[in-house]
Amino acid sequence: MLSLSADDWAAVVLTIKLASTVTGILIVVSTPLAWWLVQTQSWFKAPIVALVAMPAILPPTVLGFYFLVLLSPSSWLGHVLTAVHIPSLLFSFTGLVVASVIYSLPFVVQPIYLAMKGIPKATLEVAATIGASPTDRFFSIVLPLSRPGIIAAAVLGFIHTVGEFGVVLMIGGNIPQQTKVLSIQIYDHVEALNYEAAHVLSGSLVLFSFVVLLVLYSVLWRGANPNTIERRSR
Amino acid sequence: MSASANTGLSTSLIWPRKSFDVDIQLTLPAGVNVLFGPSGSGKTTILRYLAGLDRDANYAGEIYVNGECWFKAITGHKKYQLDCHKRSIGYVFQTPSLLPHLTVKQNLVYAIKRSKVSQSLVTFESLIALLKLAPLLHHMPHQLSGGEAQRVSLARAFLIKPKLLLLDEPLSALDVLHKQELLDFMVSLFATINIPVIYVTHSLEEVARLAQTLTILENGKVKYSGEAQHVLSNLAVAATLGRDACVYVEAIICDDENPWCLIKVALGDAQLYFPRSVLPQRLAQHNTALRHFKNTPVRLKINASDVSLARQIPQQSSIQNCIEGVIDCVWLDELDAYCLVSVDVGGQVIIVRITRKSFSELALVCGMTVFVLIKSVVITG
Repeated sequence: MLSLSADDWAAVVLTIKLASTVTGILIVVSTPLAWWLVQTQSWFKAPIVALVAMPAILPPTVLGFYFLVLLSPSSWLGHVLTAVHIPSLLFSFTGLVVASVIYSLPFVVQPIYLAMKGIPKATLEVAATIGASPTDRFFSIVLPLSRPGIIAAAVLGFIHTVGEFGVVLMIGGNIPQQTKVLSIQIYDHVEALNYEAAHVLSGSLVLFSFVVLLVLYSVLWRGANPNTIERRSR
Repeated sequence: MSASANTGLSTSLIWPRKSFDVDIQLTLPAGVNVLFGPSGSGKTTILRYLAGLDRDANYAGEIYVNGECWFKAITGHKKYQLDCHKRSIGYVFQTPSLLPHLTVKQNLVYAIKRSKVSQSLVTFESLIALLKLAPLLHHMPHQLSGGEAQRVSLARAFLIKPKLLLLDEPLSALDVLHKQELLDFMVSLFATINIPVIYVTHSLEEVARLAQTLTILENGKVKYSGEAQHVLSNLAVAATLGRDACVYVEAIICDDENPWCLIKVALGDAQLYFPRSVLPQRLAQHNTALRHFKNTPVRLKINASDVSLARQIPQQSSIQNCIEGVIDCVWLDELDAYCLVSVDVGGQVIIVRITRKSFSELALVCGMTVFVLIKSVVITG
């Protein structure tokens, strides 16, 4: 990696920082959200599911555009933020985090939701008869049994955030060590016709994604989910 | 509240359903209370109701365990409901239901930690020994056989030290051998506790082996309920069981000191001989020293079809087990080839299933002295 410039390194570090922060926030938010979605029978569920899924199908530029409009100092939100002395989120790392959380949300909620949905109702009933309260059941049954889903979700959320481009371009801009992430850096290299530098970064990213997914799926297929094992043995 | 309600279970449930309306009222004492009935008669419904598993069902009724209210609702009124996890119950499900991500030991510890009663280690150790769980403690649930998993489930239910023990056909998923083994375990376990046990089954063998009281359900209603021996010897009940009709009688093992490989059992004044194979596993294992079991009270399960009647002691017959009794009651159905006769043998009742033709040709009437010929029995417990 001798050929990486200081700028490239800064972009790599920033990207990892962004992806880690976003993944952390997403896991904390998505785990209870997914469990709520699995359990609820409220009419509210369908619109929430649709909202959560939307970032997965909308072009990132659409999301970016609305973030831009919403976060601009002249919007109502911008006014509110200015009034409470919160600096504008546009073109800032915090803004990137907020946007990325929403952008990657479906990719994190989905695997956790599926893992939790796969937990047999009977298992939870058993725990209830033993005396486990709903909160107790969440921590002692639901979390451990959906761990493979949560791990998959974290990995997907991380990779997806690393691969983000459109939203960052729209609201992050191009400030080194602030908002200039890997994908933007590659774009800049290509713009500047510096294909060699673009190759190094792109190639590394391709390799990184492949290795991570390879590890993830081989672990999942080895049957890390005790839940699936149990059902198979029935 | 009555005294029995203070030491047992007193419950009622009205629950309208699409298939049939559940409408039951039960007062059951400490001890093994069997709920018996065909599939879809509401047995599991009652267990789930007692456990509080279906929070949102529109039940009306009440549950009192040892005088403590767990549930009370009148249709259309606000209800009082203790959540499932706050009820002191042990529940053994039909299929093994261990927590899949925990080892056997962790499964048991999970229950101990959440028990509402402080736990002494002695109980844990003795339970492990009794149910022979020591070699399984570090296994994962998916590594266990059905019988092993049910044994662990049983241990778990006991470790909770529940006020109410619910068992939903705990043996139905097991093969014959494991059934016998687990039945033996349960007989010994149930002897150590003094709480109401609600045991759902449709096996008459389990009824004969375990039941103290027997409640027969049909389409969500209680058809018969009472002391098990009494319910089984009711001819109306026997009639619905058809060729499976049976009773059990209390008898005493005498000895096996004879050259015929038979054991001698005393039923009242009569002495009966049976092959050792009718002994339960628990006793059969010790067949070298059966005299240790001399004077052990046992239950004899006698199928109505394995018994015949004679007006005199048959001469030169291969059937030697013969008891004198008095015809108590007769169940005749013009559309059935068979009829049922209950015979009082020294205070206990044996039901005999014979054809109507022989009934008529023997000219049997109530109050007549007859001889009951027993072809075979199953000794249980």
